[in-house]
Amino acid sequence: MIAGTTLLLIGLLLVVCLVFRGAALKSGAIRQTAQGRLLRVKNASLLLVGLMVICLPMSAYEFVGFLKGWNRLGSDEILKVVLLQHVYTAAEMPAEVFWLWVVKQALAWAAGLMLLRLFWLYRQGILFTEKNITCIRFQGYWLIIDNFIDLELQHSIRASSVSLNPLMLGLLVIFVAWIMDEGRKIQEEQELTV
Amino acid sequence: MKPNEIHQIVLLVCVLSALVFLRKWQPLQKTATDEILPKANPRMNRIQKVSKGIRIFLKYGIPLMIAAFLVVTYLAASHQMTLPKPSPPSGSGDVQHSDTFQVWSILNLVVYLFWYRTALKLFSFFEKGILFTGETVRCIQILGGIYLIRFLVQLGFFCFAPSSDSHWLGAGYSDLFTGFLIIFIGWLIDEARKIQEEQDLTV
Repeated sequence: MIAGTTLLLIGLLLVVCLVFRGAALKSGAIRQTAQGRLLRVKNASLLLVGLMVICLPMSAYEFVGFLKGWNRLGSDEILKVVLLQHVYTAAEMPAEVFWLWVVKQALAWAAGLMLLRLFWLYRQGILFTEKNITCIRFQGYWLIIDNFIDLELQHSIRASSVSLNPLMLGLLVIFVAWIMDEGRKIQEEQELTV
Repeated sequence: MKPNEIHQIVLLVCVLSALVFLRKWQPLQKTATDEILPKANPRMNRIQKVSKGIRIFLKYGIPLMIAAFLVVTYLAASHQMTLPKPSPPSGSGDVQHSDTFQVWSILNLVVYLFWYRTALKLFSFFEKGILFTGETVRCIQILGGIYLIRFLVQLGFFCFAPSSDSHWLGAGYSDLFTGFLIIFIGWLIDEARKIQEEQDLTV
């Protein structure tokens, strides 16, 4: 089941890449101009907005379905949650683990909405404003907080070690967002300089 | 609440406070020379200083941490120190000793080493004041590509070496998502850079 969903996801991503590539080649003459580039960014962002619009309701279904004991979409299997290599149904999950998982889900949802907002801004042709940078920075904070929740979960479940990879990645994302912000400010100041 | 229960919260507060402090750092940095120089220079200096700090941490801090981890593992193995043992994952046997897990760990290590090398390269560019050029964008895209490769390796294991104890493959989706997001942002920076260059060339 997991492998099937994964292959479906990869297929979807490949289709997105091919459509995107085809559209880029089709635009031929205007491809190398600034307007052509901006158009490409807008088209790619539209696809990602579409992807997010599909994924967010699906994750909401998984969340509610897990609580209510519904089946997985297109399967007879009851919805389960895998937390740090432990598989839970709603009835089996301890209260402490449950609330941490709820916080994790809420944060993931907030991050998803921020990502949707980011892609929506790109769709509008707004590339490097403070709003974009706030959205990117939020992803970094989310990765860090999520990693700490995992550490707390590790303590509750007594699971094997949690990777610190998301923590490093979160810091890297915040750092890149900060550099983008500084670059934007430098650019603004240079434009104001006569 | 036990002392080790608040440990994670304290760590989180420390990391977030450090980040907030870094954001508010700018007013403290003003000196007499900064008032004479154009405003862009202190910003660039700050980026270079922070990049240098991170690069040094990556270059020396991480090897030291790995060495410390190896020492602790050795002490635990020679019974000079006791470490808390985690419970095995539900529905799995002795996963840590399966052949698939060993091969996966080695491949994971190779991927991490490549990630480490690329991150070092990226921060050395930032340290030199090279912010958004072709080289830095390539580094960012390679970092994204590494996550995608990690995901593909996991998928390969899942498809070609299936086993009942495959719960350790759980992080696959997040790697796919992360890799895709990083590559997209790298591409976006590249496009914006090219638009900017074209606008600069237009008279």
